[in-house]
Amino acid sequence: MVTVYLPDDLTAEFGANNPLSLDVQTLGDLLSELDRRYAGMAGWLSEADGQVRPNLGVFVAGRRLPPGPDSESSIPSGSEVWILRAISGG
Amino acid sequence: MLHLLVGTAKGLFRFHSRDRRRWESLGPVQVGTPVYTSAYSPDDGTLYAAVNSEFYGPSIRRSRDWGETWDTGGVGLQYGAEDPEKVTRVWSISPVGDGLVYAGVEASGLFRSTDGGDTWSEVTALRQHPTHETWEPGYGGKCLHTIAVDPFHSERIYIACSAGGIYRSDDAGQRWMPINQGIRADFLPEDQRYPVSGQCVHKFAVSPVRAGRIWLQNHGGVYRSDDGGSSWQSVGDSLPSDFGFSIVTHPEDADRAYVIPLEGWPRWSPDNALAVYETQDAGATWTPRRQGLPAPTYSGVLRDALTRDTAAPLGLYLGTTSGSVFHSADAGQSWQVVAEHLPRIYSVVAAAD
Repeated sequence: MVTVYLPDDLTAEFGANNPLSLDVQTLGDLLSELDRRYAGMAGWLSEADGQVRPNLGVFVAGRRLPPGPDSESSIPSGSEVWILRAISGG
Repeated sequence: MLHLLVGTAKGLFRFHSRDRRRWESLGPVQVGTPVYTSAYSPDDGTLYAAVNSEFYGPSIRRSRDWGETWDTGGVGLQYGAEDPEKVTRVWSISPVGDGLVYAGVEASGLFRSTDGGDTWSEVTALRQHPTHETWEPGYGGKCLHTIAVDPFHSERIYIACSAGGIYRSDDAGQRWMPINQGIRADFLPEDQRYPVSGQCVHKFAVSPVRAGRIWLQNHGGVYRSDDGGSSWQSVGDSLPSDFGFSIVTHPEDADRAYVIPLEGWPRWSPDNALAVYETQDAGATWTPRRQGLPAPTYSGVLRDALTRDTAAPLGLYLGTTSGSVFHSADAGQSWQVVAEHLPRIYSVVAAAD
């Protein structure tokens, strides 16, 4: 199991619980599971090719995944996963 | 009740009025997020908004209570995983009725929903047209910004993209043809200014009362077609500038139309005097309508930020890049302020219920 923390505005839009405990091994699994629970959420977080949207940051076990992490990025059991809005805009 | 929906760089601002004179602000929604445009479907009372989040990407959100609450949008508004292009923004939404809705996106492409926006799928034949390779981004992006279903021919669809030009389908989107013959492309070398495609059409408006008549504001040039876009006549020569973004038809008089001339650069009004120009004779002459509009001003009006209602006398509405909304309840003869100091305005939509 991993613990997933989502941005507050995202959880408000989808009425999602936060944090979530999910049984997933990869980022692709995580997006699929979020989309199963909250229809359409994967499309908000990632693009058609599975890459996370450029102005979102994903931290797994304290380390930020490289920009545009893809669905194969692994998430070790017991990790905390934080999905955060990047510094952007003006 | 008349509703005025103002899409801005930082949210959708809402106003309503019972008499088109006193306007009540209902405040912004989708706060902090660019809302490029909106559209109202009187069929089922659905308000659609093109919400282009910097974080979560583009979506077409729906509200059934004039923006108090929104859903999270439908699914399928993406190109395929292997496609070299991505859907990065929604630029236009066109509800037709009975659940049929079209949407134009960046990178330029057309999507269709037949269930009121629950699911979207691309109208693939458009981007498969051989002239697709001539499409390039304009200053605002590579966007499909205008969609119209012909009011006299339900299978006929027009779209325009920048840069790319205006296209027509006569079979509900299965096949497309560029209809840019006679439309100038100022940004190309002198001997290449009338290509088949690649024009930077800024906006077009199909007459709701005369079959085949289309008004078009180009990136340099105002045009009128009387044959569904098969040929175009230049009608902007007497304007102070034939550059502009927006163009609006009259709901009952096919010979009337409205434009806002801007300098080609820096895209504000000639002599810094904001004015709507009206023609009453199919483009032969144009008359400025500026009483109540500010001068000097250093702002412009973008392609979706001039609109009208269907009342008599005609109501006109515009929003500026410096965040002011003006309305006229007498077909442009005089103007009043609805709001000031909003974020940069992308679109103004008038809808009645």
